[in-house]
Formats: sequence, C-alpha cells, structure tokens
Amino acid sequence: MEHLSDIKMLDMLGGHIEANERERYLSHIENCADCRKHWHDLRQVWGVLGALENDICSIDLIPAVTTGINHRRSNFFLYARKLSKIAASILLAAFIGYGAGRISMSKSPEKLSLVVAETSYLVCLAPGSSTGLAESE
Amino acid sequence: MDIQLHTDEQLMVAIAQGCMAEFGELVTRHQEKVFFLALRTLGQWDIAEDISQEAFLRVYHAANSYHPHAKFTTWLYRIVVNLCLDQKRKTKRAYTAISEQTEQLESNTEGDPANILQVKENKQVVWKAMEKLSKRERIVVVLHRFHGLSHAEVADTTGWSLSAVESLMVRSYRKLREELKKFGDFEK
Ligand SMILES: [Zn+2]
Repeated sequence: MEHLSDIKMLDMLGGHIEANERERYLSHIENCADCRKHWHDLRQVWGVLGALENDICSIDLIPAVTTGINHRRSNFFLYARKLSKIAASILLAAFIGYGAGRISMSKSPEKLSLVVAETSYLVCLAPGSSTGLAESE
Repeated sequence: MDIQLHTDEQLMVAIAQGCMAEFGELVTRHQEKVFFLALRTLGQWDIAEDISQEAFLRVYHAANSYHPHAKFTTWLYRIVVNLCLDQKRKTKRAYTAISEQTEQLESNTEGDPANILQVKENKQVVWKAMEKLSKRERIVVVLHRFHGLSHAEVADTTGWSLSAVESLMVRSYRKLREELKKFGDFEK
C-alpha cells in the first residue's frame, strides 16, 4: 500500500472515511514511520484548532433581518412609485406631442409641403462640397 | 405539525409563500453556523454580523426560485462564502483584533480558572495562526474543521474544483502546522 495522502488523513480526522477503509489506513499508519509522523502532526494541528470549537455566542439575527426585509420592501414600493410617475410623465408628454403635431399638420397643409421641400434639400447636402450640394464628378 | 420538525427544504417552501414564522425558524436554526463561518473567515465581528444578515436576506428573497438540488446548508454556505469573498479586506489589523478580543466569544469551559486561561491563550494562538492564511485557505479550513464537511463537500459548497480544494487544504494545514509549532506547548 502506498503512503496516505494528506487529504485522506484529514478526511479521516473529520470522520469522513468509512470504518473498514479507516481500519486499513490505520494499520498502514501503524507500520509506516513516515505516515505515522505525518499523522501525528496533522492530529496535533486538528486538536489545537479545536480551541475555537467551544466558542459560543448569543447572536440573534432575527430583528436585524426582519428590519432588512421591511426596509427593502418599502424601498421597493418607493422605487416602484417613482418609476410609475416617470413612466406616466413620458407617456403624457408623448401623447401631447403627438396630438399637437396632428393638429398643426391638419391646419396647415402648406407647412407640410414646406417641410418636405426642406428635407429633400438637406438630403442633397454633401460633405466637402463647396456649394453644400452634391456635385457630379 | 410543529415547524421545528420541518426540514430546511419544507421551511423554504413555506417562506416562498410568505410565512415569516418559518423564516424565523430557519434563521434560528442556522444563524450561529453562518455567523461563525463569516467570523472565522474574516476575523471581524461586525462584518461577520452584516454578512450573516445579508445572507439570510438573500435566502428570503430567493425563496421563490429555490430548488433543492443539494442540501440546504450547501446552498446557504455558498452564499456566505461568496459574500466573504466579495468583502474587501479592510485591514489586516482587524483580523488580529479578534485574537485579542476573544472575550466577545464565550467558551464552553467550566470551573478551573487555570483551564479557562489556558483555553483563552490557545484560542489566541489559533486565531493568530489562522490570520496567516489567505481568505480561500481559511474558508477551506473553516468548512472542513468547524463545519464538518469532507473535502468533496467543501468543493460542492464553494463551487471550486476538487483538485483546487485539495491543494488549498494541504497547503493551509501545512501552514497552520508551521505557525502552531512556533508556540511550543500548544499541545496542552
Ligand atoms: Zn506510509
């Protein structure tokens, strides 16, 4: 049998190795000086770390967590209210703009033809042209 | 049925339906483990408390989408581990402070004052040794040594590969052995 790895020893210390396998490992440790030394060291570290195992503290997180839930809930509603106000304003502005546009267009069809003419002129503008108009090459 | 008899998964189903009593039971059941995982990883009492609260808030808000494909504690500890990893290290001094303020943590020792003193001293030695580890190394040791997880379960909980966990574990226990050796009679 080859030497035991640190991981096998550590899992053995944590009680994560099945009984028959554990027996096999322990008998190897008994007969192998290298593993025996290593096992001793790891057991020692394991034992010393136990100093923190007895820590107890009377911590009660429930009040703080409950406050956190209520706080986030009220924040969510505040945020949702703000968001709905903004959305309503945008909708209203768009509606007013659209309505106003429709009214002004229907009252002055000549203005519409002027806008179309201006647009077609602007389309002809070309960068780098001395006249601002597209020039034939 | 008494909610204390419910499994964590059953409590989560009730929490998803808005039952606060079940949530209270879940917090009561796991708060100490969660707190100690954060405290031993970060070494800062106040931050460990904040992280524990945040972890339970996340549990509450994720209850609707929670599907138990692993043990509840695996999922819970993963949340805590991620919060600890996200936590920017404030100062190294803060970790040292916990080794000097262990009176905040009561110990399960009784009687003999000499024994109590010895336990306190040992604790400080261990905190100082833990301080020498990186955050990831500490997480691995804390989960393995104090939360009773095997190295495979540590990999499941953290989401790190098995080989990464193995090398972190070997490295951190070796470092601890070296650190603890300096304190000579720590075997008492
Ligand atoms: Zn061997």
